[in-house]
Formats: sequence, C-alpha cells, structure tokens
Amino acid sequence: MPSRRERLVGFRYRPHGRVEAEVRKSCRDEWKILYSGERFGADVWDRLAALGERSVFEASKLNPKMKDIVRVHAEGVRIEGARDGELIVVFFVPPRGLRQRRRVEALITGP
Amino acid sequence: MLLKEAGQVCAFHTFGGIMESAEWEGLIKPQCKTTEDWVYGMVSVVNALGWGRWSVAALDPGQRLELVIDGSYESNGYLAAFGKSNTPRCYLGTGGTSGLMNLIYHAGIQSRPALTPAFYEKTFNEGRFFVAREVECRAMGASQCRFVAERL
Repeated sequence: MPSRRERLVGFRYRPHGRVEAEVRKSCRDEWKILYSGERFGADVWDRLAALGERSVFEASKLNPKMKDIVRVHAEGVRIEGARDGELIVVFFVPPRGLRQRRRVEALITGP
Repeated sequence: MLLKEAGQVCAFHTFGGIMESAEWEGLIKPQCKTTEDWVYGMVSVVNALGWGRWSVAALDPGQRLELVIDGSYESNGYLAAFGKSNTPRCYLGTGGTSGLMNLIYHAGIQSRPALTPAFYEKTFNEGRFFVAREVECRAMGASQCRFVAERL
C-alpha cells in the first residue's frame, strides 16, 4: 500500500495567484514540492529568509549569465532556488516541516 | 542488457534530477539558448561527477549524438580487474548517452515532467526513442570510449 506521500506524487494545486505547486518524489523521508509559474525575486527570498537561516552562492559574480543560488534552512524545511529564477524547491520534513507548508506558501506567493 | 538498462535508469534519475533542479534553473538554464545547449550543459555538469572526462564529439540535433569519455571509470575498472576485453564494457556510459538524448530530444525534460515510472516508459520505450551503443572502448584497447546514440 503506497503511502499518502507516494499517492500524491504528481498532484498539482495553486496555493495563490499564478504560482503552481507540484508534489514530487523525494529520495528521503520528506515531502518535495516544486513551486513555479512566477519569477521569484529578491522580495520573495527576503520574506522566506525570515523563516530561518539564508545562504547565498553568488554565482552571478563568477558569470553574469548565472543567477545567485539561495537556500533557506528552517526547522523541518529546506528551501532552494535562484534569485529571479522561476522555480523554488521546498523539502518539508514531517511532521514539523509539513506544519509550516501554508506559511511557506504564503511567503512565496506574497501579500 | 540488464547493465545497460541500469545505466539508463541512472541517467533518467541523475540527469533528469539535475535538469529539474534549482541549481540547473539558476546556473545552467540561463546559458542555454538552444536545445543543443542542454546537451552541452549536461555533459559539462557530468564532468564534475568523477565519471571520466565526457565530451561531445558530434551532435546532429534531434538525430544523433557521438559522445567520447576519456578515462571512463568502467573501462578502468574492467582493465584493472580482468585485463583486456573483447567486447565494450561501459554500460553506464551507454545508458547515459541514450538517456541524455531521450530526455532532451524525445521526452521533453525541458517542461520539467515528474520522473515517474510512466515517464520512464515514455522516455525509453515509446515511439522513435534513441538507442546507444559503445563503438570504441578502452577496455578493448582503444584510446578512449566512444558512444553513438541514434533513433530506433
């Protein structure tokens, strides 16, 4: 019997506005959800940084064609993406991380 | 056949996972102007994996890929363990070559599909998918390992 997480792989929904979320298979015991549909600029990452610790790989300084890679580590949650990119990948570690899903989505989609 | 299939499964999840990652989105994709750039971009990334030095020898867009691996770990391993071979021995390289072409030109990895068993079937078993073969192998005495992927 597949777990609820396995059954939901491929499930898509719209948390808010144009942003689309899709549940993906993860290799670990965690939920992996992709958020796309918009360009996620510095304002989004500033909001997400409030959740925990932000680290930035400033790839644009090495090659201006590349975007800076941003990661935010919070309790039970790992958020990855590029500044001004069109994809954010969030890993929610149950149970604590999953409880933060709506908050993370509110920060991604904004006011 | 089983080892080549294992190579394809590895390519599907490794290459597919990389091309759908946040890092690809931020670092490689902005530099890709054409579909062919996705092939060159992925081969560049593979060179950071320690699988030998991969390079594109020839690419006929959407039709054929000739890929060369210098220092393939599979041929190194075979030579060290068994000596010279009379058949090609780089199964991951073979599966990787077909996997690369199938993901990019056959199954549309660019639209970021979920890497499910159904998508694996579409990638490697439906329509005019790519099949790869190793045409030169260091384990057989060649200087490099060379792979060709063509549509079935």
